[in-house]
Amino acid sequence: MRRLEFVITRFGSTLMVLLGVTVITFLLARTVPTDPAALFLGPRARPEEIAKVAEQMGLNDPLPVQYVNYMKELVQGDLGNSISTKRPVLDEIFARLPATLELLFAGMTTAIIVGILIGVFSARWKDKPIDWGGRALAILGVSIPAFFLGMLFQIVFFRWLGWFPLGGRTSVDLRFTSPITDVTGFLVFDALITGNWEGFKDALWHLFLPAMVLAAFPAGLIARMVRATMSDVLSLDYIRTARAYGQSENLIAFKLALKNAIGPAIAVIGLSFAYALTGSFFVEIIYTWPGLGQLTVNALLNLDYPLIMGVTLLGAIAYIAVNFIVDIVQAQLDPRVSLDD
Amino acid sequence: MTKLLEINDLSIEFDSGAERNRAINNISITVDRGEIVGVVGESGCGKTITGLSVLRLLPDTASITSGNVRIDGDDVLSLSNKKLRALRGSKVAMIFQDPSTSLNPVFTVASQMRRVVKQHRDISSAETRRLMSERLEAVGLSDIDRVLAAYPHELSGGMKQRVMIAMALIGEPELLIADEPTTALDVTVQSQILALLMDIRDRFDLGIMLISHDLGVVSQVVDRVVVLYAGSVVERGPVPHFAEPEHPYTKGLIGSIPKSTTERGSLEPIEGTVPYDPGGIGGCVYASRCPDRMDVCLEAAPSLDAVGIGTAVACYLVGQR
Repeated sequence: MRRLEFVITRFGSTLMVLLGVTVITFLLARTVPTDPAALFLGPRARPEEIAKVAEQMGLNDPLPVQYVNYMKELVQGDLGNSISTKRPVLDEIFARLPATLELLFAGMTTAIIVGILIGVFSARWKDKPIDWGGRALAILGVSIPAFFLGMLFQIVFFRWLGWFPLGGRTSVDLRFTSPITDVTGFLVFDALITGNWEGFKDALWHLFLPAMVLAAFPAGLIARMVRATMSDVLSLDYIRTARAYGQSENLIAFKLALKNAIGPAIAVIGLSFAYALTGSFFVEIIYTWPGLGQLTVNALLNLDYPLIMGVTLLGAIAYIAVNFIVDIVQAQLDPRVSLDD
Repeated sequence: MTKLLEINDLSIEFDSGAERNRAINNISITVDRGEIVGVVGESGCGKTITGLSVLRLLPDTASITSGNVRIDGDDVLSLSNKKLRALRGSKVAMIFQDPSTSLNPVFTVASQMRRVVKQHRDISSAETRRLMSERLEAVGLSDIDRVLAAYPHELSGGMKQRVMIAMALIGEPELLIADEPTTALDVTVQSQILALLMDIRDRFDLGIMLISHDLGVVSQVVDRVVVLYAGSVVERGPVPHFAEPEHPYTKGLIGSIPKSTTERGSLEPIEGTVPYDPGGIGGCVYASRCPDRMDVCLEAAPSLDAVGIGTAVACYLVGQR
């Protein structure tokens, strides 16, 4: 019953937040000093044509009327058409979304595993060489900008060592040698379930570097958070109890203490998901990854405001969804956390 | 014949980086099977550290500089880590001051107890379940299934301490170290837990080292008392001896216990505080607060001399009479 109430109230507040996001993005898009109608028609359009299109697009209506019209279409799932490609915004986004999600998923999974491991190892062997190494890695992760790390990896792993490709999701010739059948849009996963071994290797090989670059910052953040909370937990009475009853130090660190220390880290994981979504835009540009990042950058350069608004709304939804999951996971892990606050 | 627990001439120093100070100074305590020994003293006198040293649970900043701890004649301080882990929770078990913080908040009672069983006994899961229920019943808990499924925060303080004691009994220990087990509990629950300790002593033939700051409470259940002050044993003897204690500190400790006849506003504390670095004091550790201080007290520490059978006092006044 509690849980149902939680979901309902949470759903209500989520709607309010999304409504706020639409207002802000709408106002920003409409107050940018640009003429969408002129952009739509291109540089050779005559002024009377522009005026006609502006009238058709409803740009001459008062702002509140425009907003209401926009919302009417939005609730029907219509985010308008892209100004530069003329295709529906939703189609554009969904065409690019799987690539970004794959990168995001790979990067965040790596960040969570590596971050927690570094944090626990650091706390378990506090002030020992392992801890020094772990802390150095975590600091590097949070302080090196993604675009720099991306280019550094390209120089080291592509140019010098030749271990990984420069960019893209697959090799150019893969589509002729062993094309990957589209099932979910996650190439690595699709290749695996269709038994396309060549495709799997190739896609994974391309995914590796951008995923590592994307993982660096959240991994460092998670590692630092886990180390700090683990250090606190390891000095508590119930850890002494575990020691007094002969439990091994590894069991204590990786299970008995970690389950207590993971709560704050999960909050950080939620926050860094939001970071990673925007961080992936940089990474996508550097590694020519055909995802939302490239789409968004192009939309910004072309002042393609329906597309910009669509991506922003998607970002807000993703952020809210992740935080919702974070709350549920925290309540699952700690019996003292209740969902009604 | 070897005693169950023998602490001989134990000294413990704390190293805070900048300075070292001696928290425990050449103390000796023994506990035998079937007896409860009270270790009494005020906060900061080294009671807890003494208890922790028996299972080598001291914090990293503390080190044992002399003496030894023997369980059935085996030197605990030279045990390998593996043997030490086998000893912890099986032959020697420990319960702590605050049951609310001594149980892991994110695991159920069953999973915490099961882990102790797994560590020390090689039995099936059905037998484990039966053993856990048996021990929980032995400590006076009912509605066992509910207790096993509960998280610590769903139990009362007294129930949590009973769970701790049940957990201590899982490994069939011979020695139980109880570090202020009733301090965090209500007075009514206090006496129940103390009665429980006496009960399990009789049933399991346990030796119990009962650490407390409250001589009044302790004297109801223990057989012998060791009074610690500033890391030194100042007086020890069987309970009847403490009807007429001889060391000025013990007298002060008993005098400071409020009685129902005490008038309002007439508490009798011992003036001053425990010295910070008792190891650095040349004379008697209690000299700075002692009402009967003499010149000789500041020059050299009095030795702990026997004044009767099993009774010893470290005070110059006692020798004079």
